[in-house]
Amino acid sequence: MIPPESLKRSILEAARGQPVPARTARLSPTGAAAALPILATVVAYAVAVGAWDLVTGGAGRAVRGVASALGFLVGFGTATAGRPAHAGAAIVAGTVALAAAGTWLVLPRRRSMLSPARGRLLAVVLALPVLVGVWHVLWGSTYVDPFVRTGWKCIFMTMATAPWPFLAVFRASRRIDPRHPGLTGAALGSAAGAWGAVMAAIWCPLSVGSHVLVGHVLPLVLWVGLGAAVGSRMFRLRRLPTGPVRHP
Amino acid sequence: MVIRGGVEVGEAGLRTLADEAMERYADGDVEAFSTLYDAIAPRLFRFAARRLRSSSAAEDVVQQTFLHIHAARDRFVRGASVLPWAYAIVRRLAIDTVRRLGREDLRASPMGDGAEPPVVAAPDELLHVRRSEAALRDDLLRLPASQREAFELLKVEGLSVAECAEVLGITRGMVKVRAHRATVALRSAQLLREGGPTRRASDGPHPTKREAST
Repeated sequence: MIPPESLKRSILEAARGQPVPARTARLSPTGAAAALPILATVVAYAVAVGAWDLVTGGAGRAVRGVASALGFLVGFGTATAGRPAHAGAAIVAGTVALAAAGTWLVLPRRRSMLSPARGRLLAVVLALPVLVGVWHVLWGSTYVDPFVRTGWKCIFMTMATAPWPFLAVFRASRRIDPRHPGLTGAALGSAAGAWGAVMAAIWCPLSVGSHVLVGHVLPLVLWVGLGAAVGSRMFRLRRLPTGPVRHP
Repeated sequence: MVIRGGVEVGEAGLRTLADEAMERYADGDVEAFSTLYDAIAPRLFRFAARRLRSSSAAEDVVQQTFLHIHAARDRFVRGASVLPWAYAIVRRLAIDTVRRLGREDLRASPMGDGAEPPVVAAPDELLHVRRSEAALRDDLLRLPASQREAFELLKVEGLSVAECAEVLGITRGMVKVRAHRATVALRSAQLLREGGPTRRASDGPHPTKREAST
Protein backbone atom coordinates (compact mmCIF):
# COMPACT_ATOMS: atom_id res chain seq x y z
CA MET A 1 0.00 0.00 0.00
CA ILE A 2 2.07 2.92 -1.31
CA PRO A 3 0.75 6.45 -1.87
CA PRO A 4 0.55 7.47 -5.52
CA GLU A 5 3.37 9.52 -7.01
CA SER A 6 0.89 12.30 -7.81
CA LEU A 7 0.38 12.83 -4.08
CA LYS A 8 4.04 13.65 -3.58
CA ARG A 9 3.98 16.07 -6.49
CA SER A 10 0.91 17.89 -5.20
CA ILE A 11 2.32 18.13 -1.66
CA LEU A 12 5.64 19.51 -2.86
CA GLU A 13 3.86 21.99 -5.14
CA ALA A 14 1.56 23.12 -2.34
CA ALA A 15 4.53 23.57 -0.01
CA ARG A 16 6.37 25.59 -2.63
CA GLY A 17 3.26 27.75 -3.12
CA GLN A 18 3.08 28.62 0.58
CA PRO A 19 6.64 29.45 1.62
CA VAL A 20 7.42 29.28 5.33
CA PRO A 21 10.65 30.83 6.68
CA ALA A 22 13.35 28.46 7.79
CA ARG A 23 14.08 28.01 11.45
CA THR A 24 17.42 29.78 11.34
CA ALA A 25 15.90 32.85 9.70
CA ARG A 26 13.94 33.68 12.83
CA LEU A 27 15.45 35.24 15.91
CA SER A 28 14.82 33.54 19.22
CA PRO A 29 15.34 36.19 21.90
CA THR A 30 14.85 33.94 24.92
CA GLY A 31 15.75 36.62 27.46
CA ALA A 32 13.36 39.15 25.98
CA ALA A 33 10.67 36.48 25.70
CA ALA A 34 10.87 35.96 29.46
CA ALA A 35 11.45 39.58 30.50
CA LEU A 36 8.67 41.19 28.48
CA PRO A 37 5.77 39.25 30.06
CA ILE A 38 7.18 39.88 33.54
CA LEU A 39 7.41 43.59 32.83
CA ALA A 40 3.95 43.61 31.27
CA THR A 41 2.53 41.74 34.27
CA VAL A 42 4.02 44.28 36.68
CA VAL A 43 2.61 47.15 34.62
CA ALA A 44 -0.79 45.43 34.43
CA TYR A 45 -0.68 44.90 38.21
CA ALA A 46 -0.02 48.57 38.85
CA VAL A 47 -2.64 49.66 36.34
CA ALA A 48 -5.22 47.27 37.81
CA VAL A 49 -4.63 48.50 41.36
CA GLY A 50 -4.72 52.12 40.19
CA ALA A 51 -7.85 51.68 38.07
CA TRP A 52 -9.76 49.95 40.88
CA ASP A 53 -8.76 52.57 43.46
CA LEU A 54 -9.55 55.37 41.03
CA VAL A 55 -13.07 54.07 40.52
CA THR A 56 -13.74 53.32 44.19
CA GLY A 57 -11.80 56.06 45.97
CA GLY A 58 -10.60 58.79 43.63
CA ALA A 59 -7.27 59.93 42.24
CA GLY A 60 -5.46 60.31 45.55
CA ARG A 61 -6.24 56.80 46.65
CA ALA A 62 -5.25 55.50 43.24
CA VAL A 63 -1.81 57.11 43.44
CA ARG A 64 -1.28 55.77 46.96
CA GLY A 65 -2.47 52.32 45.87
CA VAL A 66 -0.13 52.17 42.87
CA ALA A 67 2.79 53.41 44.95
CA SER A 68 2.26 50.82 47.66
CA ALA A 69 1.64 48.04 45.12
CA LEU A 70 4.88 48.81 43.30
CA GLY A 71 6.61 49.22 46.65
CA PHE A 72 5.69 45.63 47.55
CA LEU A 73 7.22 44.42 44.29
CA VAL A 74 10.39 46.50 44.44
CA GLY A 75 11.03 45.59 48.07
CA PHE A 76 10.00 41.94 47.60
CA GLY A 77 7.39 42.63 50.25
CA THR A 78 3.73 41.78 50.65
CA ALA A 79 0.74 43.64 52.05
CA THR A 80 0.96 43.54 55.81
CA ALA A 81 -2.25 45.37 56.66
CA GLY A 82 -3.24 43.01 59.46
CA ARG A 83 -1.36 40.09 57.92
CA PRO A 84 1.81 38.88 59.65
CA ALA A 85 4.84 39.37 57.40
CA HIS A 86 5.89 35.74 57.63
CA ALA A 87 2.38 34.58 56.63
CA GLY A 88 2.35 36.96 53.66
CA ALA A 89 5.78 35.81 52.53
CA ALA A 90 4.82 32.16 52.90
CA ILE A 91 1.56 32.60 50.98
CA VAL A 92 3.33 34.38 48.12
CA ALA A 93 6.24 31.93 48.07
CA GLY A 94 3.89 28.95 48.04
CA THR A 95 1.76 30.45 45.26
CA VAL A 96 4.91 31.20 43.23
CA ALA A 97 6.04 27.59 43.71
CA LEU A 98 2.64 26.27 42.60
CA ALA A 99 2.57 28.56 39.57
CA ALA A 100 6.12 27.58 38.59
CA ALA A 101 5.37 23.87 39.01
CA GLY A 102 2.17 24.20 36.98
CA THR A 103 3.99 26.06 34.21
CA TRP A 104 6.75 23.45 34.11
CA LEU A 105 4.18 20.66 33.90
CA VAL A 106 2.11 22.14 31.08
CA LEU A 107 4.90 23.25 28.78
CA PRO A 108 6.02 20.70 26.18
CA ARG A 109 9.02 18.52 26.83
CA ARG A 110 12.25 19.84 25.41
CA ARG A 111 12.60 17.42 22.50
CA SER A 112 9.04 16.97 21.43
CA MET A 113 6.60 18.70 19.14
CA LEU A 114 3.67 17.48 21.22
CA SER A 115 2.18 18.73 24.46
CA PRO A 116 2.45 16.63 27.64
CA ALA A 117 0.22 13.64 28.33
CA ARG A 118 -3.47 14.19 28.95
CA GLY A 119 -3.25 13.03 32.58
CA ARG A 120 -0.61 15.61 33.39
CA LEU A 121 -2.59 18.44 31.78
CA LEU A 122 -5.76 17.34 33.53
CA ALA A 123 -3.93 17.25 36.86
CA VAL A 124 -2.79 20.85 36.38
CA VAL A 125 -6.25 21.99 35.32
CA LEU A 126 -7.94 20.41 38.33
CA ALA A 127 -5.30 20.60 41.02
CA LEU A 128 -3.78 24.05 40.58
CA PRO A 129 -6.88 26.12 41.54
CA VAL A 130 -7.57 23.78 44.46
CA LEU A 131 -3.99 23.87 45.72
CA VAL A 132 -3.74 27.65 45.45
CA GLY A 133 -6.98 27.97 47.45
CA VAL A 134 -5.95 25.40 50.06
CA TRP A 135 -2.54 27.04 50.51
CA HIS A 136 -4.18 30.42 51.19
CA VAL A 137 -6.74 28.99 53.59
CA LEU A 138 -4.13 26.99 55.51
CA TRP A 139 -2.20 30.17 56.27
CA GLY A 140 -5.44 32.01 56.94
CA SER A 141 -5.91 29.90 60.05
CA THR A 142 -2.73 31.39 61.57
CA TYR A 143 -4.08 34.93 61.88
CA VAL A 144 -7.35 36.85 62.05
CA ASP A 145 -8.32 38.66 58.85
CA PRO A 146 -8.15 42.44 59.40
CA PHE A 147 -11.41 43.11 57.49
CA VAL A 148 -14.03 41.38 55.38
CA ARG A 149 -14.32 41.68 51.60
CA THR A 150 -16.02 39.56 48.96
CA GLY A 151 -13.04 39.47 46.63
CA TRP A 152 -14.09 41.32 43.50
CA LYS A 153 -10.89 43.34 43.50
CA CYS A 154 -8.81 40.15 43.71
CA ILE A 155 -10.72 38.68 40.77
CA PHE A 156 -10.17 41.88 38.82
CA MET A 157 -6.45 41.92 39.57
CA THR A 158 -5.96 38.27 38.69
CA MET A 159 -7.89 38.61 35.45
CA ALA A 160 -5.98 41.79 34.57
CA THR A 161 -2.49 40.43 35.23
CA ALA A 162 -2.79 36.85 33.95
CA PRO A 163 -3.06 37.67 30.19
CA TRP A 164 0.69 38.36 30.02
CA PRO A 165 1.78 35.09 31.58
CA PHE A 166 -0.80 33.44 29.33
CA LEU A 167 0.75 35.01 26.25
CA ALA A 168 4.18 33.87 27.43
CA VAL A 169 3.19 30.22 27.98
CA PHE A 170 1.16 30.31 24.76
CA ARG A 171 4.29 31.39 22.90
CA ALA A 172 6.42 28.78 24.65
CA SER A 173 3.96 26.06 23.65
CA ARG A 174 4.19 24.52 20.19
CA ARG A 175 1.07 26.44 19.08
CA ILE A 176 -0.31 23.35 17.39
CA ASP A 177 -1.83 20.44 19.23
CA PRO A 178 -3.27 17.56 17.25
CA ARG A 179 -4.32 15.60 20.33
CA HIS A 180 -6.19 17.69 22.88
CA PRO A 181 -6.11 21.40 21.99
CA GLY A 182 -8.82 22.44 24.44
CA LEU A 183 -7.21 20.67 27.37
CA THR A 184 -3.79 22.11 26.52
CA GLY A 185 -5.29 25.60 26.42
CA ALA A 186 -7.09 24.99 29.72
CA ALA A 187 -3.85 23.86 31.36
CA LEU A 188 -1.99 26.91 30.04
CA GLY A 189 -4.85 29.07 31.33
CA SER A 190 -4.60 27.44 34.74
CA ALA A 191 -0.84 28.10 34.92
CA ALA A 192 -1.28 31.70 33.76
CA GLY A 193 -4.09 32.20 36.27
CA ALA A 194 -1.77 30.94 39.02
CA TRP A 195 0.76 33.66 38.11
CA GLY A 196 -2.08 36.18 38.30
CA ALA A 197 -2.94 34.73 41.73
CA VAL A 198 0.64 35.44 42.80
CA MET A 199 0.16 39.12 42.05
CA ALA A 200 -3.13 39.13 43.98
CA ALA A 201 -1.49 37.33 46.91
CA ILE A 202 1.25 39.97 47.13
CA TRP A 203 -1.35 42.63 47.61
CA CYS A 204 -4.32 40.95 49.35
CA PRO A 205 -4.02 40.30 53.13
CA LEU A 206 -7.21 38.20 53.39
CA SER A 207 -7.20 34.43 53.72
CA VAL A 208 -10.65 33.53 54.98
CA GLY A 209 -12.24 30.66 53.06
CA SER A 210 -15.15 32.50 51.45
CA HIS A 211 -12.89 35.31 50.21
CA VAL A 212 -10.26 32.90 48.91
CA LEU A 213 -12.90 30.92 47.05
CA VAL A 214 -14.31 33.97 45.28
CA GLY A 215 -11.23 36.16 44.97
CA HIS A 216 -8.41 33.68 44.42
CA VAL A 217 -9.85 30.37 43.17
CA LEU A 218 -12.70 31.59 40.96
CA PRO A 219 -10.40 33.63 38.65
CA LEU A 220 -8.26 30.54 38.12
CA VAL A 221 -11.36 28.61 37.13
CA LEU A 222 -12.28 31.45 34.77
CA TRP A 223 -8.81 31.31 33.26
CA VAL A 224 -9.17 27.56 32.79
CA GLY A 225 -12.34 28.18 30.79
CA LEU A 226 -10.77 31.03 28.85
CA GLY A 227 -7.68 28.95 28.10
CA ALA A 228 -9.84 26.05 26.93
CA ALA A 229 -11.72 28.35 24.56
CA VAL A 230 -8.52 29.89 23.18
CA GLY A 231 -6.77 26.51 22.94
CA SER A 232 -9.56 24.73 21.13
CA ARG A 233 -9.62 27.59 18.64
CA MET A 234 -5.92 28.32 18.21
CA PHE A 235 -4.22 24.94 18.74
CA ARG A 236 -6.52 22.72 16.69
CA LEU A 237 -5.56 21.54 13.23
CA ARG A 238 -7.12 23.67 10.55
CA ARG A 239 -7.59 22.59 6.99
CA LEU A 240 -4.71 24.13 5.06
CA PRO A 241 -5.01 25.31 1.45
CA THR A 242 -3.56 22.83 -1.00
CA GLY A 243 -2.89 25.43 -3.70
CA PRO A 244 -0.60 28.46 -3.71
CA VAL A 245 -1.74 31.30 -1.46
CA ARG A 246 -2.28 34.58 -3.31
CA HIS A 247 -1.30 37.64 -1.35
CA PRO A 248 -3.13 40.89 -2.21
CA MET B 1 21.30 8.17 -0.18
CA VAL B 2 18.85 5.64 -1.64
CA ILE B 3 15.26 5.65 -0.49
CA ARG B 4 12.57 3.65 -2.24
CA GLY B 5 9.29 4.54 -0.64
CA GLY B 6 10.91 4.25 2.76
CA VAL B 7 10.46 0.48 2.56
CA GLU B 8 13.98 -0.77 2.20
CA VAL B 9 15.40 1.05 5.17
CA GLY B 10 15.17 -0.57 8.61
CA GLU B 11 12.81 0.84 11.23
CA ALA B 12 15.54 2.49 13.29
CA GLY B 13 17.28 3.82 10.20
CA LEU B 14 13.99 5.11 8.84
CA ARG B 15 13.36 7.10 11.97
CA THR B 16 16.82 8.63 11.98
CA LEU B 17 16.54 9.44 8.30
CA ALA B 18 13.20 11.18 8.80
CA ASP B 19 14.45 13.17 11.77
CA GLU B 20 17.57 14.24 9.92
CA ALA B 21 15.52 15.25 6.89
CA MET B 22 13.18 17.29 9.07
CA GLU B 23 16.10 18.99 10.80
CA ARG B 24 17.60 19.92 7.42
CA TYR B 25 14.24 21.11 6.15
CA ALA B 26 13.68 23.25 9.24
CA ASP B 27 17.14 24.73 8.72
CA GLY B 28 16.33 25.76 5.16
CA ASP B 29 17.19 22.79 2.93
CA VAL B 30 14.14 22.74 0.64
CA GLU B 31 15.09 19.42 -0.98
CA ALA B 32 14.93 17.68 2.41
CA PHE B 33 11.13 17.87 2.34
CA SER B 34 11.11 15.37 -0.49
CA THR B 35 13.40 13.08 1.50
CA LEU B 36 11.14 13.42 4.51
CA TYR B 37 8.16 12.51 2.36
CA ASP B 38 9.89 9.41 1.02
CA ALA B 39 10.85 8.36 4.52
CA ILE B 40 7.51 8.58 6.29
CA ALA B 41 4.70 9.02 3.75
CA PRO B 42 4.20 5.28 3.06
CA ARG B 43 3.79 4.54 6.76
CA LEU B 44 1.46 7.48 7.30
CA PHE B 45 -0.57 6.53 4.23
CA ARG B 46 -0.94 2.92 5.39
CA PHE B 47 -1.98 4.11 8.85
CA ALA B 48 -4.54 6.56 7.43
CA ALA B 49 -5.87 4.07 4.89
CA ARG B 50 -6.37 1.41 7.54
CA ARG B 51 -8.33 3.81 9.70
CA LEU B 52 -10.37 5.39 6.91
CA ARG B 53 -10.72 2.44 4.50
CA SER B 54 -10.63 4.90 1.65
CA SER B 55 -7.55 5.66 -0.42
CA SER B 56 -8.75 9.09 -1.51
CA ALA B 57 -9.50 10.12 2.07
CA ALA B 58 -6.13 8.72 3.16
CA GLU B 59 -4.36 10.75 0.45
CA ASP B 60 -6.14 13.88 1.63
CA VAL B 61 -5.12 13.23 5.24
CA VAL B 62 -1.48 12.58 4.30
CA GLN B 63 -1.42 15.74 2.20
CA GLN B 64 -2.80 17.82 5.06
CA THR B 65 -0.32 16.24 7.46
CA PHE B 66 2.65 17.21 5.33
CA LEU B 67 1.28 20.70 4.90
CA HIS B 68 0.98 21.05 8.68
CA ILE B 69 4.56 19.83 9.06
CA HIS B 70 5.59 22.36 6.43
CA ALA B 71 3.65 25.16 8.15
CA ALA B 72 5.37 24.45 11.48
CA ARG B 73 8.80 24.20 9.87
CA ASP B 74 10.11 27.33 11.59
CA ARG B 75 8.94 26.09 14.99
CA PHE B 76 10.31 22.57 14.77
CA VAL B 77 12.16 21.83 17.99
CA ARG B 78 15.79 20.90 17.46
CA GLY B 79 16.28 17.22 18.24
CA ALA B 80 12.57 16.39 18.30
CA SER B 81 11.31 13.22 16.67
CA VAL B 82 9.13 13.86 13.64
CA LEU B 83 7.42 10.48 13.50
CA PRO B 84 5.21 10.63 16.64
CA TRP B 85 4.23 14.17 15.72
CA ALA B 86 3.27 13.15 12.21
CA TYR B 87 1.32 10.13 13.46
CA ALA B 88 -0.52 12.33 15.95
CA ILE B 89 -1.50 14.72 13.16
CA VAL B 90 -2.65 11.87 10.91
CA ARG B 91 -4.66 10.35 13.74
CA ARG B 92 -6.41 13.63 14.51
CA LEU B 93 -7.13 14.38 10.86
CA ALA B 94 -8.48 10.87 10.35
CA ILE B 95 -10.79 11.27 13.33
CA ASP B 96 -11.96 14.62 11.98
CA THR B 97 -12.48 13.13 8.52
CA VAL B 98 -14.63 10.32 9.87
CA ARG B 99 -16.67 12.84 11.84
CA ARG B 100 -17.05 15.11 8.84
CA LEU B 101 -17.83 12.60 6.14
CA GLY B 102 -19.21 9.72 8.14
CA ARG B 103 -18.37 6.05 7.75
CA GLU B 104 -20.82 5.47 4.93
CA ASP B 105 -19.38 8.16 2.68
CA LEU B 106 -15.91 6.79 3.25
CA ARG B 107 -17.02 3.28 2.32
CA ALA B 108 -18.42 4.64 -0.94
CA SER B 109 -14.83 5.03 -2.17
CA PRO B 110 -13.17 1.96 -0.70
CA MET B 111 -9.58 0.81 -0.99
CA GLY B 112 -8.86 -1.12 -4.16
CA ASP B 113 -8.33 -4.84 -3.69
CA GLY B 114 -5.09 -4.64 -5.61
CA ALA B 115 -3.58 -2.25 -3.12
CA GLU B 116 -1.57 -5.06 -1.53
CA PRO B 117 -0.20 -7.71 -3.86
CA PRO B 118 -1.05 -11.28 -2.83
CA VAL B 119 1.88 -13.22 -1.47
CA VAL B 120 0.33 -16.72 -1.59
CA ALA B 121 -0.04 -18.36 -4.95
CA ALA B 122 -2.33 -21.31 -4.23
CA PRO B 123 -6.04 -20.35 -4.37
CA ASP B 124 -7.09 -22.29 -1.26
CA GLU B 125 -4.22 -20.85 0.77
CA LEU B 126 -5.03 -17.38 -0.53
CA LEU B 127 -8.65 -17.87 0.50
CA HIS B 128 -7.59 -19.02 3.96
CA VAL B 129 -5.25 -16.02 4.37
CA ARG B 130 -7.94 -13.61 3.21
CA ARG B 131 -10.48 -15.10 5.64
CA SER B 132 -8.01 -14.95 8.51
CA GLU B 133 -7.18 -11.35 7.71
CA ALA B 134 -10.85 -10.45 7.49
CA ALA B 135 -11.55 -12.14 10.81
CA LEU B 136 -8.62 -10.35 12.44
CA ARG B 137 -9.83 -7.03 11.05
CA ASP B 138 -13.28 -7.69 12.48
CA ASP B 139 -11.80 -8.63 15.84
CA LEU B 140 -9.77 -5.44 15.81
CA LEU B 141 -12.83 -3.37 14.97
CA ARG B 142 -14.69 -4.89 17.90
CA LEU B 143 -12.03 -3.70 20.35
CA PRO B 144 -12.56 -0.43 22.20
CA ALA B 145 -11.01 2.42 20.18
CA SER B 146 -8.41 3.18 22.85
CA GLN B 147 -7.12 -0.43 22.88
CA ARG B 148 -7.23 -0.72 19.11
CA GLU B 149 -5.17 2.43 18.62
CA ALA B 150 -2.49 1.35 21.09
CA PHE B 151 -2.33 -2.12 19.53
CA GLU B 152 -2.12 -0.81 15.97
CA LEU B 153 0.58 1.74 16.71
CA LEU B 154 2.69 -0.72 18.68
CA LYS B 155 2.23 -3.99 16.81
CA VAL B 156 1.29 -2.91 13.29
CA GLU B 157 3.07 0.43 12.86
CA GLY B 158 6.07 -0.66 14.87
CA LEU B 159 6.35 2.44 17.03
CA SER B 160 8.11 2.20 20.37
CA VAL B 161 6.12 2.44 23.60
CA ALA B 162 7.45 5.98 24.15
CA GLU B 163 6.49 7.09 20.65
CA CYS B 164 3.09 5.47 20.98
CA ALA B 165 2.55 7.30 24.27
CA GLU B 166 3.45 10.57 22.56
CA VAL B 167 1.07 9.96 19.67
CA LEU B 168 -1.84 9.11 21.95
CA GLY B 169 -1.05 11.64 24.67
CA ILE B 170 -1.05 9.07 27.46
CA THR B 171 1.58 7.57 29.75
CA ARG B 172 3.82 4.69 28.70
CA GLY B 173 2.28 2.48 31.34
CA MET B 174 -1.18 3.12 29.93
CA VAL B 175 0.05 2.22 26.44
CA LYS B 176 1.33 -1.12 27.72
CA VAL B 177 -1.91 -1.81 29.58
CA ARG B 178 -4.08 -1.03 26.54
CA ALA B 179 -1.93 -3.01 24.14
CA HIS B 180 -1.88 -5.97 26.52
CA ARG B 181 -5.65 -5.91 26.91
CA ALA B 182 -6.05 -5.73 23.15
CA THR B 183 -3.71 -8.70 22.67
CA VAL B 184 -5.59 -10.75 25.25
CA ALA B 185 -8.94 -9.86 23.66
CA LEU B 186 -7.70 -10.75 20.16
CA ARG B 187 -6.26 -14.02 21.37
CA SER B 188 -9.47 -15.02 23.10
CA ALA B 189 -11.48 -14.00 20.02
CA GLN B 190 -9.27 -16.23 17.89
CA LEU B 191 -9.70 -19.12 20.31
CA LEU B 192 -13.46 -18.65 20.21
CA ARG B 193 -13.40 -18.66 16.42
CA GLU B 194 -11.36 -21.82 16.25
CA GLY B 195 -13.76 -23.43 18.73
CA GLY B 196 -16.45 -23.85 16.00
CA PRO B 197 -19.25 -22.02 14.22
CA THR B 198 -21.75 -22.25 17.10
CA ARG B 199 -19.34 -20.53 19.47
CA ARG B 200 -18.55 -17.88 16.91
CA ALA B 201 -22.20 -17.12 16.34
CA SER B 202 -22.56 -16.32 20.00
CA ASP B 203 -19.52 -14.07 19.85
CA GLY B 204 -21.53 -10.88 19.78
CA PRO B 205 -25.11 -9.68 19.39
CA HIS B 206 -24.36 -7.51 16.32
CA PRO B 207 -22.39 -9.39 13.65
CA THR B 208 -20.63 -7.18 11.14
CA LYS B 209 -21.62 -6.95 7.48
CA ARG B 210 -18.68 -9.10 6.53
CA GLU B 211 -19.82 -11.84 8.94
CA ALA B 212 -23.36 -11.62 7.67
CA SER B 213 -22.23 -11.99 4.08
CA THR B 214 -19.93 -14.98 4.67
